[in-house]
Amino acid sequence: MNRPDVESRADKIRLEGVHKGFPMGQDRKGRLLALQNVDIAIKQGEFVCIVGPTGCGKTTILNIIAGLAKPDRGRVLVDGREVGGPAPDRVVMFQEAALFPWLTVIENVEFGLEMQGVGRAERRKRAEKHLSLVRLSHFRDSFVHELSGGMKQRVALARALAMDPDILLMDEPFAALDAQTRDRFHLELQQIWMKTKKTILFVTHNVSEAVCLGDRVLVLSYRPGRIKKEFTVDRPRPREYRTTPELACITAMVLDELRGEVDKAAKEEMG
Amino acid sequence: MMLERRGLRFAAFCIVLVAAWQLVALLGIWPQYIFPAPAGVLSALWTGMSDGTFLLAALASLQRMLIGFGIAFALGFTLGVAIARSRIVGDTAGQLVLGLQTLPSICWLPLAVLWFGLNDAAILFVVVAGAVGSITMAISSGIAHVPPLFINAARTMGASGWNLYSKVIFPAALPAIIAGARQGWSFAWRSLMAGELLFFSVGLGQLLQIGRELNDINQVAAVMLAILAVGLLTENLVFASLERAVKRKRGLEQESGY
Ligand SMILES: Nc1ncnc2c1ncn2[C@@H]1O[C@H](COP(=O)(O)OP(=O)(O)OP(=O)(O)O)[C@@H](O)[C@H]1O
Ligand SMILES: [Mg+2]
Repeated sequence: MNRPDVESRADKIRLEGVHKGFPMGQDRKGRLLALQNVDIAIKQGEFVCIVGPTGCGKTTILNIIAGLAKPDRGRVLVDGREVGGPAPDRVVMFQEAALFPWLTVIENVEFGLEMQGVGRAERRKRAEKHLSLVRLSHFRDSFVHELSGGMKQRVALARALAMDPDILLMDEPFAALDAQTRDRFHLELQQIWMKTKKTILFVTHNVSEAVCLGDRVLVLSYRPGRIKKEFTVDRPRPREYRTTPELACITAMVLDELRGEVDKAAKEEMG
Repeated sequence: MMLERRGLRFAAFCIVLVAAWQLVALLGIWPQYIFPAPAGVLSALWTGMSDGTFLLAALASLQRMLIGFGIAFALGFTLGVAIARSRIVGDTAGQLVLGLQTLPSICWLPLAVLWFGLNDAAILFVVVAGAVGSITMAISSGIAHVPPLFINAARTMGASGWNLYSKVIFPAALPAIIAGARQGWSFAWRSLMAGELLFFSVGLGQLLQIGRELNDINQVAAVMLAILAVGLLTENLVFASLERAVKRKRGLEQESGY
């Protein structure tokens, strides 16, 4: 790698030899090895994307870093300290949005701030700012079930950003958006990232999205999940996929790497 | 719309039922003191309402209900949370509560009388015993079924301890909590009527008993109607509308339009 300024920074997130298995089968006696010997090091302020076939353990990695799941073996360090549970310095944007149906849109965005003890007026202000960022100000008083899937994801994004965490763990956050909206959020997210210097770990199926957003793209192998290969994307930001031809070239390389894994996944899932 | 149509249908059914009842009474197969006619029952109902005895009795019963149900809900809530939180409590106290639920609540009455004497406290005890089990079970299972996703999301945003319960777990379990309270209320009402039947302190159950002692079948039937009405009204006015409001807010109602 050729990024001396990044290399010299401290590790923000470190996974060392992480294993994770789950009980499997009806009797829960079998063992499914989801992650095997995963090593990841993410520098302070880096934007890293993870791609991999479905079921390879991407969400599991995020859960482990978030402190929601404990690795069977290995260590997880954030800021050099071992993770001992969830904490609001690492906010997760879940694959399923995970908004609370008993709260209105704006109350959902305020939730994390309320838990941080931010006063009512201040949290309303910050929530409104982030709702307008995701273009949902009109829906501030709606309930969650009145939103479309993509709108829910945008509310979840606003909720995560409003908390202003050091680390953002994003699990396919834009999967439910149409292509144009997704492009807009790609730009928006990069701008926020450049301004705030957050550390972002971004999981996606979409290789071109990963290449467009990431400083690095990690390719995960199919079960057991392992870091198979890593690509560095060294293009100026904010990037736009359409206007940066080099991205297509890197995408092709990542896809090549991924193809074998996806085939393996398909074969196994078909039985 | 739909609801009104169903209401109308039920009203029509009731009218037909009363007409059939009147018809059978007119046939005179059984004597009047065994098989009352609707007219007699309605006039007993009217007398009871207009001289205030029904109202007074209903108020006394409702007051007992509120106290008994309040105690049962507080106990059931606490116990339900404890069972959901701790496997040990679930395997011990939880199993006990589940087992005791098979005991009809009125079976507690002799014990309650020995403990408290022939007074309101004994009735209250029976009411609490009748309702607390179902409330406990509903609340513990409601809490156990809160989707882990909500809890995980809240924990990554810094919720823990009391905040996690008051801001996430209880609101998420609210539909189950209301359903449990509703069931507890109807169990409490049945227990209360059974308890009042055996006592001489003012209440709808006591009115029923007085009717029997006077051999006044019209009063017996009229009081039965009143008990039914109060039970249905309280349940529907309070719990059914609460349930509907919560469902609407969370989009749990079907809105197909068909
Ligand atoms: N709680 C769990 N219990 C049992 N197995 C689990 C559990 N969570 C995940 N798994 C298994 O671990 C593997 C990895 O799951 P994970 O959710 O991390 O995949 P993923 O890469 O996020 O997939 P997708 O792209 O479809 O979201 C899967 O095979 C899944 O069946
Ligand atoms: Mg996933």
